[in-house]
Amino acid sequence: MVHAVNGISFHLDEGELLAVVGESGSGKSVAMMSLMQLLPMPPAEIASGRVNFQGQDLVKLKASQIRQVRGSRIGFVFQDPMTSLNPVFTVGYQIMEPLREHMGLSKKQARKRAIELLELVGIPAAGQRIDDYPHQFSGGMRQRVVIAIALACDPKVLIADEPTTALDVTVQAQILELIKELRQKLGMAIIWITHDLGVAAGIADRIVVMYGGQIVEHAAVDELFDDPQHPYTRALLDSLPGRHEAHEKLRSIAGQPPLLLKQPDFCPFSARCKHVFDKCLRQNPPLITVDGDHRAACWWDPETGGPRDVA
Amino acid sequence: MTDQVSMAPEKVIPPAPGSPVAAEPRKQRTLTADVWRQFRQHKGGVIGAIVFLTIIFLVVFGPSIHGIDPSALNVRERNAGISFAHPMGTDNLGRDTFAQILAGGRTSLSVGVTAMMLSLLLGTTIGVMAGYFKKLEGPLMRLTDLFLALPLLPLLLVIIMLFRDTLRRSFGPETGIFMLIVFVIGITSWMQTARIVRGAVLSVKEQEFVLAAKSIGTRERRVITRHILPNVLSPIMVSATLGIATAIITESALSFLGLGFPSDYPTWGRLLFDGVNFMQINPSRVIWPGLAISLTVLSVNYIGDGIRDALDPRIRGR
Repeated sequence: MVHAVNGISFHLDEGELLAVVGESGSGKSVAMMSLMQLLPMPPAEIASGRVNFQGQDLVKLKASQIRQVRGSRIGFVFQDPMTSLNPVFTVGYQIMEPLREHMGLSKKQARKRAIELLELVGIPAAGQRIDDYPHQFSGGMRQRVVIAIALACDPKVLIADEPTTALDVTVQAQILELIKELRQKLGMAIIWITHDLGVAAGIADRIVVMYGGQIVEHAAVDELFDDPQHPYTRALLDSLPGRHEAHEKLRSIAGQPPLLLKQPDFCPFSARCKHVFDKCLRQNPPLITVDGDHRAACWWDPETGGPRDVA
Repeated sequence: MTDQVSMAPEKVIPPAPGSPVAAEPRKQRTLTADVWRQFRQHKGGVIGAIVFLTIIFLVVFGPSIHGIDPSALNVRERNAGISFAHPMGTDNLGRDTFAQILAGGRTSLSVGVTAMMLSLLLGTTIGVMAGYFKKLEGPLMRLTDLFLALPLLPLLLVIIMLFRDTLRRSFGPETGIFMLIVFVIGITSWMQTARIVRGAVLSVKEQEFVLAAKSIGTRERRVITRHILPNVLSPIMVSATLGIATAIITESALSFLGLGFPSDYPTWGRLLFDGVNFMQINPSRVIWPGLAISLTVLSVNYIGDGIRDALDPRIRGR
């Protein structure tokens, strides 16, 4: 039994873009999928916790009730646009599906709305492309279609799980532009899962850094890049190419993320941390407020270079 | 740009996006029309369809055109060769082979198609359930293994011995035995389909579009019928076409063992096995029913191939 995500807590304001960063296996996707009970259960299990959304606890909802939330109030965009569309139906059909399910539109109305949505996400000649099949679209176009499906019912929250990872850089830039534009137009809140710090810096309002199933640092975007507190965040920023001399080797973080077979009673990053000391091995640090909204889960203080002064 | 136009003057340049022409949606294509257009491209499928339809036409209307009673004896003309009166010759009792083939085709085809549908229904349902619902997988697949492990012929014999007389009494000798045979073939031939479908479902359900469908609030039943089933259609099509063949042949085996239809009631399998004893004297008695079975099976296979291609949007789009 792997404890993939442990004791995380975050909030999302209306119209805000929260980026969740972390390496593979840090629990980003699992945490976000569990918000909507999208994990296959069994084997997955939500042991405890609450998800407050517009005054409702999503974890307590029954299967039929959570279905009402999925798609209509919370949209989801997946990583790989090549596989997240059903190959045997036209894209129009797939956009119309949530419209008819949640909004009870007639076929004609749904079709009209689907064309509007395709135009909204920037697909040229939407009226003609609507009857095309996914394989007739390129990767970037498909991701636009997936975004259109997620946006179909005007969700309050859009959860995007590494939506640009499978795309090349120019298409990624287009999709990022599109998201920025849509956010202004529609005013929805977005959770953006990524392991690209550059992307996160470009679009996010706030950033949550995850490691080993925990949130290790949380800060407004400028704050995080100017004054990173957690050694993991610092190491991540340090490993970005282009921050060092051109002839230098790329820096990496030595070691592997921990396998969380039980809830850790030590800092999960301690094995790879440059600043580790005895307290890190005895006690798993909680999120400690550094400055206003800036919190980090670390006993070490970069200001002093010694242990953090915790009251 | 001008170069391109002069090089391919017959090519229609698509209207620029956003122009009034592009904004007007073209006529909505229907799926049936698309599928039909693609099916016509598939030569094998079209030929198969023609052959199969001809066989059906002959079998349905043939007896009223070729007016010889298939069971009428004519000892003077026994073992006759091909002639105008007897296009496929006669058997050792002087019965007209063509008339028998036509009459037998009615039974064989209806048994084949109905049994195939029954076994397909069973196999697909069990396969999809086992593949999609983790809890059902164990019990259903063990059930499938159980049926695969059963010695089929003794099972068939027992079922037929047990139920033949009851069914005959309640539905009459022909309908009763027809239902029994269809049922028996159906419940003994669904296992392969179930296994293939389960395998296909297992791989399809891990695809991201299934998760995506759930993430927009699609109901479980709709996920299965709209997202899983269409994507496992091609293995189902293949086992359907093979299923007709197996059903016709199993029916022949049952008739051969004297457990199928009564002996005066011709089916292709029955004719074939009756003919085996006379193969040395009159080989045409095996050739004709054999040809009928092979042609049917082959044409159905090609039709299945064509339909499968036509239903696949990736092939259709080319």
